[in-house]
Amino acid sequence: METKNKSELFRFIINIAVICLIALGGVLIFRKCKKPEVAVWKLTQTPLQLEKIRNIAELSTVTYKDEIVVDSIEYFKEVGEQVIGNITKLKNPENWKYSIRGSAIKRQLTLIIGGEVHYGFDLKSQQFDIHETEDSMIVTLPKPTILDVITLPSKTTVFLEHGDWSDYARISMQRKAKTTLVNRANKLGLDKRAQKQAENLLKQFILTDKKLVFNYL
Amino acid sequence: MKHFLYILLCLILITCQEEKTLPETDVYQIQDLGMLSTTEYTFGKILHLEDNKEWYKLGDRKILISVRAKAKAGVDLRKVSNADIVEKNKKTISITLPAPEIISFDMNTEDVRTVHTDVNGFRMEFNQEEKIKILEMGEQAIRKEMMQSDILKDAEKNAVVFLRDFYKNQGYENVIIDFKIPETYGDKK
Repeated sequence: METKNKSELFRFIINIAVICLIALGGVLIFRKCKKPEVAVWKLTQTPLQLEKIRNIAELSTVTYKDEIVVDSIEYFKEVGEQVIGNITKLKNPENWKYSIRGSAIKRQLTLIIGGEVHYGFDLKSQQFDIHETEDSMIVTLPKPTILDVITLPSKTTVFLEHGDWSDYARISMQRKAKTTLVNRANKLGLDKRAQKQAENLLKQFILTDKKLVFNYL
Repeated sequence: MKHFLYILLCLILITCQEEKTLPETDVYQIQDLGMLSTTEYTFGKILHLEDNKEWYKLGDRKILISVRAKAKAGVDLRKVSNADIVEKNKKTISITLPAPEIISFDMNTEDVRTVHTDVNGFRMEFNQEEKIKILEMGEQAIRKEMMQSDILKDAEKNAVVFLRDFYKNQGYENVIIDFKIPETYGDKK
């Protein structure tokens, strides 16, 4: 009688385990087959505040566009931490796949950031001047500089997010992407191209029979 | 029964495989411009989102993010042809400029702050992917709402001031500046 009870209990446990496994399998298959629906979010109306108005005179003559991949990864330091860390990850369904694998990665964030660098001239600068001599028109311009480095949320994609990440970490990565964009742009020697394009533009706007001379300070 | 369990286990492991591969990125682009920016507006906005619409999710999530955006407006000098610049006499010049437009728009990441979040029930905290999505919605909202401001009118006014000085330095006393009628006053960037 006792043996029969034990056997029934064992069978009951096995049945429950099988049901749980089927349910888990079902959930995973469902998640794999059905892409998560993008939540229909709508921002609550809030006013747009005009904080500052500035009169400027900037001539942008060259733009450089690129995409930067920025990655941040952190590994578990010890095996014990890895085991506990992977169990903790089970609380977030998004991280189950890493947890089941027993991943050595504690957390990882990979961003693809599209950005733009504008080169040009600040014509409000005291260095901008046009004056005539007997036989020539002399245009003095400041050296070309970077006027804007633009990275926007609409051009930013989270390629991989695993684990918890603070805003500060994301902002640091975005800052790094901006620096990379500027470094790449500088390596291309775009200041020369910016100068040439400015000269082409100004030649059209300055109506003179005299020789046009461009100086850069 | 054993076989069934093995099959199920294999199935689970297969479904757990990662499929993500880095998307192909475009080769960088370099483009010549001729944009004269004459005004810069700085806008501030609080992005307020309540994620409580789906009935099957137990609990609510609310978030407030403060953002700041800078927009520069001006005229595209590449759209000015030789026929648009006419020297009427030695002292008078007439120039027809294209309608002003938004030249650049930037949301500086340093000025983005999560002011408040409230997550309750069985809901997860907002992750970075979701926050970027909210920021993107904010970006679209600011781009749309800023067109109600005077940014393009100011850009036009400042372009007139700049070009008047530009030509006066070259000896012209009368500088006539007109603008082409805009097809749509719009945000190109």
